[in-house]
Amino acid sequence: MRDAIRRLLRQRKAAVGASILLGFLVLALVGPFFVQDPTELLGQPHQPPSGAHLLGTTGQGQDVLAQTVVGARETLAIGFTVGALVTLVGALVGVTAGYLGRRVDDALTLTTNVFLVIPGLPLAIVLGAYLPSGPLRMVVVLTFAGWAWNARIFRSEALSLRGRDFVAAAVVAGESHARIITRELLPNMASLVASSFIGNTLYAVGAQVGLEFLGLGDVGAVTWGTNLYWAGNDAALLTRSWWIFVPTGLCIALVGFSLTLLSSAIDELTNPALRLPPRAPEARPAATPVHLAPEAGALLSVRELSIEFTTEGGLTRAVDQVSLDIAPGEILGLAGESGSGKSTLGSALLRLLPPAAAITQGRVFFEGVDVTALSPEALRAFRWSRVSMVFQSAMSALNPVLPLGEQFHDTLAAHDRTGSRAASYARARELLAMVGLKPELVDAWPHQLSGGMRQRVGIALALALEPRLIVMDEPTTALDVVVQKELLQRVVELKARLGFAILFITHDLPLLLALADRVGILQAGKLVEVDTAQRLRTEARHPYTRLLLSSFPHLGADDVPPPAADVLEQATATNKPGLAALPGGRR
Amino acid sequence: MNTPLLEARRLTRSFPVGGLLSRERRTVLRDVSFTLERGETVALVGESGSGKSTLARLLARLDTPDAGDLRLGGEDVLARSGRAASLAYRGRVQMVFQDPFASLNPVHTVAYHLERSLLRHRRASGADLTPRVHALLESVGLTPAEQLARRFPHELSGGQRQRVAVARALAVEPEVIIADEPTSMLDVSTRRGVLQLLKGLTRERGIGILFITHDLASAHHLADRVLVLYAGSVVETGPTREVLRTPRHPYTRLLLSAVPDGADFLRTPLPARTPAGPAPPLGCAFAPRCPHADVRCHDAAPPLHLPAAEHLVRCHLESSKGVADDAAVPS
Repeated sequence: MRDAIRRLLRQRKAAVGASILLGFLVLALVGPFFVQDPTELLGQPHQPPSGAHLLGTTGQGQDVLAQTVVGARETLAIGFTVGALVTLVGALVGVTAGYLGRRVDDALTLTTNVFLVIPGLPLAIVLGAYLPSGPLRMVVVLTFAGWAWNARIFRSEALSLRGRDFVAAAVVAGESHARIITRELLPNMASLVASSFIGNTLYAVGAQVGLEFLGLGDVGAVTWGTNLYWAGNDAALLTRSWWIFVPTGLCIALVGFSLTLLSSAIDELTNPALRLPPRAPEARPAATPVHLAPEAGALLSVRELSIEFTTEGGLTRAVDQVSLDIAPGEILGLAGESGSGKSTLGSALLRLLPPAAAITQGRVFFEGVDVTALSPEALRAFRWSRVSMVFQSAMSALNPVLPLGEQFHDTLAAHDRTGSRAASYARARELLAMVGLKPELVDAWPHQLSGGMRQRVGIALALALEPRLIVMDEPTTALDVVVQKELLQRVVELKARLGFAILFITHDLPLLLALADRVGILQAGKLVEVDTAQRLRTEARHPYTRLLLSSFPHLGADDVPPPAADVLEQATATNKPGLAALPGGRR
Repeated sequence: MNTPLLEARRLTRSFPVGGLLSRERRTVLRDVSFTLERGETVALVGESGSGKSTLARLLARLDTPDAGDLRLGGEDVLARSGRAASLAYRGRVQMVFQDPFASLNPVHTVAYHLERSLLRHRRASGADLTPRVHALLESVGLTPAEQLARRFPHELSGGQRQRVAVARALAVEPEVIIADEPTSMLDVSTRRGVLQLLKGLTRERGIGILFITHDLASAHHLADRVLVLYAGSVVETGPTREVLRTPRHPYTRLLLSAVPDGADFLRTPLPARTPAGPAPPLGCAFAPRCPHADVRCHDAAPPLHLPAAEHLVRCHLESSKGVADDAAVPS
């Protein structure tokens, strides 16, 4: 929590917003002791700024400076009180509804929706007429009119958190509902509570000033809203007495500005997608030896490739001087645990790295051409037509709002491989049949398919431009074993027919040993061993490979003695900590 | 005969499908029965959609069955409701969740998670609390305990988090632990350690473990008995070694043949057909995919057979012994 506040203040937006707001709070607290009585008629009306009245006098002769400073106190007090109350009521109602669900949710949501459709201003006017005048009335009116929005936001947040296992775990531990709401759910919404509070305060200040300006507040009090009300009543605009309303207006604008800055800073802090991506590390061409050359006859040659990420703690090397070759028509398996850099390496072959990552040294040769040096135009032509990719989650790789045929057409059209939409659809039917799906599915939508079928579509899309190499990044990890085997048998069959090569990335070493011709083992970004599947199975040399091999329980052999605990710790201890936390890293 | 520690009889659960006015329900669990003894590990094996997680939720009392009986040490659990009964049940049956990244609350320390369980079930309090937390952490192999107790979940690795989750379950000194795919989200090199830890619990503390998994190989490694679940029904059950060596149900054979093990794994064909239409409403749910299915399978629910001691199979073909030998799976 303290850490979050420190990070927040490091942001410029937050720092500026917080200092402005703090300035106003100090002004509201101590300012009134240093100015004249704001209600006393001290001078002539409509006097412009002078030595006696630094900001002039009002239409009745009160000191404008005094009114502005004293007005800050009640305005901000009501603003923050309403902000807090609206957040509290909204959060409690919303979280209770979202967490308990069913009847409670029905009742509370209905109430919330009723409040939402009642327009706020008339409600405030009606309520105002029945309540005794004073600051308390304003608090009640604004809270009454404002909580429903918050309830909706908090309800949806609670709905998404309710399904999380830690809530179920708390239930199993025997915790009561009230405790789960206050100690498990609400603390997880700290940032939402904070940004809602700021937003609600902004609402409260604005609505309060608006109501008071219309004369619906307590016109005897000194607040920014009543200042404006009297300025209007005393014809400040007609008499061009700008000094009467500009100071108050400026204060309101500044408070609004600071609150907006703060809430936007909190948003950015909690939603990293809003932040500018960190700059990718710069390549160090000097570190790449000049003599690097592709292996003769290899389809793909990776030479001393290093990839680094910019993280908060500085640069992290995800792939560390990796060299490997893939022959035409070969299946090369890449095995490693989370954070080993296997997915980063795979996407680097298509130069599809996330913005925070870059190839800092080394080369990737494809059919003798240096991929790392391709121009953006050449890279666009190269991607997918020479090397394509199948992703772990087919659902996120397919566009949910387009039928399958359109997605094939897009891919084909982007590379000028199709004459017409009809031709694309014909090719799509052919490709779907190739991966064992019904050609009629060309008109289906991604959500109509099962996980295994989607992954087949992903493979069909990868085949669309007849690439020489397909990078498959954990394509079967989310699938059941039976579906996995069906899919892989189909892939092997297609490979034999079409002759493409495969880089198959997975954590499942037994699977790789059955599938791949050669297997490379990645540990903390380093390729520790590459050998044929046959040899790795029986005579793996690197201790980490042996550890991985022994980690999988086997069906056939009766229990292999498990590796001693200290061997486990030792072999995994070399894993760099923090790598798993990289963006894009899988667990 | 002794009363089993945990006994489920004909548990059934269905969920409404379709919109508000739809009365259609989909049955996710159908007549699931099994027993769990003290110090025994039973593996519940099934694919996604087989209903294994629904069963886990029923047993953890996160959900209530539509029909059936649940007995803990002979007492009818479902008959008693209310807060005290629920707390008493949770003091005896605990659960370890699949995803240790989601099952620990990110805003609380490791110590908080364990303390809450200890306090709630009056297993420790006051000055006794901290030493108990440390002892628990040590018992699951998390040392130095003083340091780890102060950490937040995001400062731990996946394997460490799952150990914390096991420690939290142990804090209430339960008799049963339901482990819902406890290793599937972990890195392979840490999986084995967690499995060993669970195995030790049955041996040393006599805790009964229901181990839910999709992975036959880990079931083989850990479990004394195995239950194979297909489309909400138990299709085969028996001692692990026997079921995996001489599987009787065509679905068990299919699952076994799909486990990536051995060099020729991809060269052996899958003993299944591409589904020919939906599952028959009255017959066997596996019939559309079953390579041996005949008329009976589509018309009538398959009966239970007892081919060997404690080995139960729900299949028509078993009664006529049509497929006993010719389709044995090489292991």
